Amino acid sequence: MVLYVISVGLSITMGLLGIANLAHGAFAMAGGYLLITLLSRLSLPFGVALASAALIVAAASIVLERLLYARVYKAGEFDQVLLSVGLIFVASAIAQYVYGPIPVTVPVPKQLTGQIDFGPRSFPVYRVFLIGTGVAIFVALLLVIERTSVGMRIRATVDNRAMAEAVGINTKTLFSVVFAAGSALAAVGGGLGGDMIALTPGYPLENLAYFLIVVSIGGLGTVGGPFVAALLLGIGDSACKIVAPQFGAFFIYLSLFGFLLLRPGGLMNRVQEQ
Amino acid sequence: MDSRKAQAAAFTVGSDSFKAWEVLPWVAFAVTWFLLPTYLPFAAQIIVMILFALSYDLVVGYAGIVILGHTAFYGVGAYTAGLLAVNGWHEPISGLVAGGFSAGLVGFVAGVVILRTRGLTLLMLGLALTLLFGELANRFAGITGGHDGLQGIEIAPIFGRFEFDMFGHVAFLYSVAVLFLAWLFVRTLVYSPFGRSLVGIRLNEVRMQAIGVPVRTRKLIAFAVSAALAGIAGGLSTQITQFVSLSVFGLEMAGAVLIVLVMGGRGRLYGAFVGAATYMILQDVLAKDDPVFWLFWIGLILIAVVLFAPGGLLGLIERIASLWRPTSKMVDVRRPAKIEYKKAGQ
Amino acid sequence: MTDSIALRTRELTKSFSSTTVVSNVDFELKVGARQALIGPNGAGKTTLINLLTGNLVPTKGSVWISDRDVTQLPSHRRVKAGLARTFQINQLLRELSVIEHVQLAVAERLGFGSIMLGGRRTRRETAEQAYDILESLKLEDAAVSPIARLSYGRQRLVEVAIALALQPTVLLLDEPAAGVPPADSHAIFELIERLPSNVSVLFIEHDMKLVARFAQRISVLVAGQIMVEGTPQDIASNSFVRDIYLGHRHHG
Repeated sequence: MVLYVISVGLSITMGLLGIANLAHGAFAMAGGYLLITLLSRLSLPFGVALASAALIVAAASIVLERLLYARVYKAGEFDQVLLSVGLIFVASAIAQYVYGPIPVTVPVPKQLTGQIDFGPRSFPVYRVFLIGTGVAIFVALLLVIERTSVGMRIRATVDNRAMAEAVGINTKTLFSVVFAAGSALAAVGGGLGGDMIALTPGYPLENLAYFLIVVSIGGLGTVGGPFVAALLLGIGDSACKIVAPQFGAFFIYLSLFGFLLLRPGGLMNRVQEQ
Repeated sequence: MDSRKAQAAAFTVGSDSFKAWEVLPWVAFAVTWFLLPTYLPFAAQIIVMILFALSYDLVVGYAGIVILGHTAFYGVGAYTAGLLAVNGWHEPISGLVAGGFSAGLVGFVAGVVILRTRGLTLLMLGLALTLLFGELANRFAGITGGHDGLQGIEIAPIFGRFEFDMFGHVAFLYSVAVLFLAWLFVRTLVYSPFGRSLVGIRLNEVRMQAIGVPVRTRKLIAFAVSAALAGIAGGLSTQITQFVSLSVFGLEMAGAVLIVLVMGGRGRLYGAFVGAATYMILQDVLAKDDPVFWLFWIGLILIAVVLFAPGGLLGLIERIASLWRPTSKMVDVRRPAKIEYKKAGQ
Repeated sequence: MTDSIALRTRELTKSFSSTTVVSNVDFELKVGARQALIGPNGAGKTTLINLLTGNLVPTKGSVWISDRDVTQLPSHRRVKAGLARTFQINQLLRELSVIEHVQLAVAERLGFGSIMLGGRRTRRETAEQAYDILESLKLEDAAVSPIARLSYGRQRLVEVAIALALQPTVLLLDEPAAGVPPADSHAIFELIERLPSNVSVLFIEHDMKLVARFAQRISVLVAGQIMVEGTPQDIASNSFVRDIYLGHRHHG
């Protein structure tokens, strides 16, 4: 679920902006780190801290988008990949400088510790909370995109930027807004997931494969795709650990490989692959 | 013959006469040999990187196949050479050839499957491939040595006479020789009709298809050849360091060769040379004291290059050079051409 | 009869999801023809060309070059079989010079494209042949210019030069005069007139003056079907065609 929250932002940014932003993980990392700082230094309540962290990351991402990303929209995937890789390096270096190399986790807020009983099994409350939040975000996004006028504009621009501009949609602002939203989501994901996926300076690179897998399998430009993909990935990963523990990551890569070959567009693709 | 036609024939870009400055890399190697003998092992590593980057440039810079994870083939070559040596086959040159061959084969098979895709999918598949191989090597750690790497690689003397010494003398010369042959090959390839058609494919596949080029097949061949070269680079690395580990399949190496080409300039034969040397020297100087510092700066450099100098260092040099000399060597036209009724297409 | 037919289709049909763009087209191009394909926008003309070249796979029907069924043949093989086309929008190789564009085509025709090593001799040969072709289109003074430097009209000429470099027996031109000043478009069509008599030409064109002047035969495509075929006089006096073109009279 954590994967989902982080990745759906990526799916939308990649689908909408059509750029390969591998540095998305960096936004998640930033969110996580900021959350920790806000919690420990300023002793803000969890919810407030999380929201603030998301806002800060969103603001920063707008700056980055205007300054850097906007320049490579037309430049082709290779250059975009390079730009984002460069950003990852810079972000990781800064993270290491400020926070040090040791992994840190986000402390779970008191109200959410403990276990819940669901019939025969019991789950940590936090996990349930995460799943619930993930689903809630999914539903919220779905509603926004499918029902509101903003959502409609987004969908129009995803389908055809030139046409959207021709009918008067301000794509530049839209891009910035969506980018910010995607980054904010990433930050939230990074913060919330800080319990399961520890924050380290290597965060964006190490988990890059996972984010990309979710987005590739889920398809670009949709809200539902990454949801299903993240679910599948999570289930597949756990199943594998139980059934054939020696093969773990191998299975993931192999299925990614096979999947991409059979359905290069992903599960629910909205964007035309040119 | 009409002198203008002769001029055009002579001009055609891709005229492969050797230019004076092309001797520079070899001069640099000679200088290193004579004046900087303590740096020979390091220089040999740079040579390996140059070779790897050359192979990658063929695919990315010339054919326009944008893919990550060329390390898959590098690693296959590296482990082939390593495993051969560990299991009794110590002859270096044949080991190298075997490495290239196996990598080329893997490249061919992978290409058949992968090259049907494009864009993000292609990028991802390449990455998935190298990660897959890494995992495979890890799972069979009994054979491959896993994270610790393959130990006990002994390489027999080259031609039975030149034994690998501790100071890297023979290793260096061996590397230079291998690079020389590879460079000659790649250079000829790039100026050949095949190579020019690859450039055409990169620029506009539709156009090339319309003139009868079997685009998919050409890309596949280029891909396989490039994979073989990458395998030779990997094998060379194994042989001169007498060591190979999972890092050959790793993201750091994949990222490094990417940065090398970006810094040096893609699609320009010598981008690999310039980029590899710059990258490795910078890394040696900056990363030693503070790896965080290195990471930060290399990231910044990457961003700067993408935004301001997409052609890399060589691109910059070209731009500066064009300020000195006019770029268009236009054929001199003093009178309009005589209008003759000729049968076209004859 | 088949040896005087250069290009033929049988029941050629192409549908996308629910729309049928080309419908049961039985079309014949005689050897040596100078034939025009006209029709309102959206009639399916470019789709038909793409089906002929192999860029699109038909939903039904077949395509024949001479007496050879090429329906299963991929587009690059059809080029080898003698079919060449130009594009409605120039398909150029942005970084290369004019002569290189033509050279690449010549090299492919001569079979040099698969040569990986060596190339000096081949380079000379292809350059010379390419230069000749450029001369026939009065482009030779721009031979070594980067293609981006040329005016749109002259780029269009290069587009034609590339097709000619393939020495096709069947030449398909998709709106060769589109966006081209009259001097250059006349150059293109005069060149077509001078082609050997065994070369068959089919061109899509909207400019009725050019069609009337250079076409010996006209096929009218409407809504994916060949409505009528005939000489320019037949077509001009056909009331049905006049109705279709009532709104397209800008060329008179």
